[in-house]
Amino acid sequence: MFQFENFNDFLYMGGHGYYVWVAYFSSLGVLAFLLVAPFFRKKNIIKEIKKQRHYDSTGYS
Amino acid sequence: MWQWFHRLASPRWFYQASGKFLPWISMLGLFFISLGLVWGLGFAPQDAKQGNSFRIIYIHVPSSFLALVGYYIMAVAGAIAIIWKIKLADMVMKAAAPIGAAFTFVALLTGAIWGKPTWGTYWIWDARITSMLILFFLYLGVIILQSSYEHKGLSSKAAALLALVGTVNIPIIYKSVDWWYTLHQPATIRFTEAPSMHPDMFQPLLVMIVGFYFLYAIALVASIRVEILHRERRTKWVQDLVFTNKNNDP
Repeated sequence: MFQFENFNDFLYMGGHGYYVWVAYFSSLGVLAFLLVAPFFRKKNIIKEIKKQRHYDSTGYS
Repeated sequence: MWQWFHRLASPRWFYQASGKFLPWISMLGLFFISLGLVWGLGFAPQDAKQGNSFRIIYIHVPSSFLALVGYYIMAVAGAIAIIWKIKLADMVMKAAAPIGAAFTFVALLTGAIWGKPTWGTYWIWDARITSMLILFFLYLGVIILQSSYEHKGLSSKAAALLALVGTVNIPIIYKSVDWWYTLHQPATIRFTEAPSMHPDMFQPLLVMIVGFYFLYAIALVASIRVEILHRERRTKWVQDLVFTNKNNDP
C-alpha cells in the first residue's frame, strides 16, 4: 500500500524529504555515471583505432 | 581443464561472450532497481523511530555491500594477475577499482546524509565510518598505483599488492559494529540469524541488494570490455571488429 496521502506528502516525507531525496539523487547520479562512462570511452577508443588506421595507410593524421 | 581455463581467460573470448549476456543483465538490473526504488521509497512502511529518513537504507546498505564485495573481487583479480600472469585478471582489477571506489563513495555519502536527521551530525570518527573511509582511500591508492610507473607490469603489480594487503580492512569493517562501541547501528542482515527487520521493510531491501549486484556486474563487465578493446587495439581481431562492423558497435 502506498504510504503517503498525496504527491506533496511523498516529497515532504514527514520532514525528512530533503535528506532522502538528496541521498537518492546524488547516489543515482554517481551510479548512472558508472554505467554511461564505459560507453563514451568505447566510442573514443574506436575513434582512435580508426585514426591510427588512417594514419598508417596515408601517412597523414 | 587447463585449456578451458585459458580460453576463459582469453580477452577475446571474454569480449565476445560478455557481449551476448550484457543486454540481459542490463534488463534484469533495470527491473530490480526500479522495483526496489518504487517499493522502498513509496510502499515500505516508515520506521517507528527514524521516520522516513530510514528509506536511505535502500541505497546505503546495498552500496556498502558492493563496496566490500567489490574490494574482494579486485584483490582476488590482482592476486591471479600476479601469480599466474593472466592478462584478463589484470584488466578485471583495473576495471574494479574505480567502480568499487564509487560504491564506497555512495555508501559514505548516504551514510553522512542519513546521519544528520538520525544522530544529529553528518560525520563522526566512529569505527565503522572511519574503516569505511580507509576502504575508500585504499581504492584510490590502487587507482593511483595503476598509473604510477612507466612500466605497466610494475604498476599493476604494486596495485595488486596494495589491494591484497588492504583486504585485512574488510573483516574490520564488517565486525567494527560489534568490536567497538559505536553510534552506527549493528548489521541489519546477518548470515547466521534472521534479519532484525520487519519483512515489509526487508523485502524491498533484498530487491535493492540484488539490483545493486546487477548494477555492479553491468558496470564491471562494461569497463572490462572497454579495457580489452584498449589493450588489444593493435590485434587483428579488434581491427576486424572495428572495420567490418557497419554500425560501429563491436
